Amino acid sequence: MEDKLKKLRGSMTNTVLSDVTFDQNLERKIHDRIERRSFTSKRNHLGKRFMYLTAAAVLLFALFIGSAFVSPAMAKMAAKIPYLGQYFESENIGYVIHEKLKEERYQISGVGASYQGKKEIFIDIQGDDQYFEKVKNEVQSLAAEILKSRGYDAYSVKVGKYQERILSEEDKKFMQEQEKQAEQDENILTAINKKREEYQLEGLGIDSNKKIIEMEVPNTVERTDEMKQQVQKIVSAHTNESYTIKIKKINMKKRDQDWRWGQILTMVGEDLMGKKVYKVTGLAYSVYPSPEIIFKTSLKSTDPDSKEHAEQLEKVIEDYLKTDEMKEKVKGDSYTITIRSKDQKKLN
Amino acid sequence: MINHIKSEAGQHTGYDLIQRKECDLDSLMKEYGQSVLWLAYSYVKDKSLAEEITQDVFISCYEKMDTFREESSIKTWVYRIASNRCKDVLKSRAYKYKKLTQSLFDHYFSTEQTPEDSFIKKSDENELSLKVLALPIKYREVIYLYYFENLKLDEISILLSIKTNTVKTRLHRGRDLLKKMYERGGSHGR
Repeated sequence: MEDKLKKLRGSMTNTVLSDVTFDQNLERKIHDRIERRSFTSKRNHLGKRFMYLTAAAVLLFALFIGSAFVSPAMAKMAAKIPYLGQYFESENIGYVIHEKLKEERYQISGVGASYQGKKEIFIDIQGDDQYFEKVKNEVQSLAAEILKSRGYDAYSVKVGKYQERILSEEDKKFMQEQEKQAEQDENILTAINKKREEYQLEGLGIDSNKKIIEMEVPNTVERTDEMKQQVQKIVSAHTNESYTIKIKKINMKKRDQDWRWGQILTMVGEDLMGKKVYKVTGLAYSVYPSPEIIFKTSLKSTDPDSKEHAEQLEKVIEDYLKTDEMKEKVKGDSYTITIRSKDQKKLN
Repeated sequence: MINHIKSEAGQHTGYDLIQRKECDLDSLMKEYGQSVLWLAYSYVKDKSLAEEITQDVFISCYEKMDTFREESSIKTWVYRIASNRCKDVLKSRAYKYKKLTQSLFDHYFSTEQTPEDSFIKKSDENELSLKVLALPIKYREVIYLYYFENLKLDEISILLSIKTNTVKTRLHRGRDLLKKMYERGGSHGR
């Protein structure tokens, strides 16, 4: 029986599964459904208006690292791969391109960078066909220039035309209702936020669909029941609807760590993803239970050279994390660097 | 004061995320599209239904992508979503109804050979496939995942949320059942 079953894959694909194929048609259907869906989910999104007091911290990625850094240890290493941060500018590449295009007064609706699968920079141009045809090539070459100046050879640039959605009457009405709701939400949040210091609020959000107000406070805060009652009063001054108040106690140390490592990963990842030579295809991090940064590569675990590449990669990353600028972010945390192969195996 | 997430950078970041998601989905479909479709077929034994399920699975992957955690491999994650979706469908009323009407239809109007019949000049390969598909679901899924997909016992255990030992027992029992089918020389017993 065992012998027969070992051939199960071949047997089935030659017979019952021979005409069961995942083709482009099916792929397109999935895309179509998501396209339709993303509009519906946008509605929910409008209703779910979260404001994070601390959002600024997340957005402040404008981190400039001074001069290039080369340690003697690294120089000694017979590295086949270049050191990190040679041309150090840690701003997100998509953002840089967006700013440059804006500066040149192109009508751009958005710039996005996608890292997984094919590495691509997307630029969407606003305006009519005529304008699009006129500036398409200019925008393309400008973006390519910026990439080149950073030595990022892993990205291709795709310039597209921004498609405005055509709204039906029903949609418009819905949007108006959403706007109204949003105004009310904002009023409630502003009122609660006046007590921010008193409550030691770290985060505040409202979900008017589910009628939930969520507050985040450090886990050292006590007497949250009292707080709930007070907030309940504030809410009822603005609306007749009843809201559930949820207070989430957060471990501030962990949260701080989480953010720091998110930033660290972004900074390290920018160069690693941008240059083909590193063969890095994806990034991930976790701080539970302790900080770990994960680099997915296109290496094959079966390839004998993979291990060596992974080790060098690890060394380059580690050296980079030991620079003074990064030490400030690492704050002495002990951490693991994991390099993974394409088939998810740990290589180092 | 409240910092509104309305700055250019904020919008840009959101856009980034959506684009990245789209792209993730593409690579996910490339990598697992065929496997998911086949896995679904192994559960429902119906091509068009398997296609529908595959659509659902990837849409659900798309939606849940943010919640994917590194602790399980992407593969087991996707397969798990697929397997759960298949079981939901099999349990659903609509499916049972469809099966019933289909079997009536087959019974009364089928003059053409159904795919299964056309294979009656069965090769060994076909015989094995049909027998595996004839196994009860709980044995079929482990046999399929183990032999067809070459998954490890612990991967199957995570994927199906059952203990590794249970996986072993079911594999064993599944093999026994197949052996009996061969001895009996029939492929019946849905």
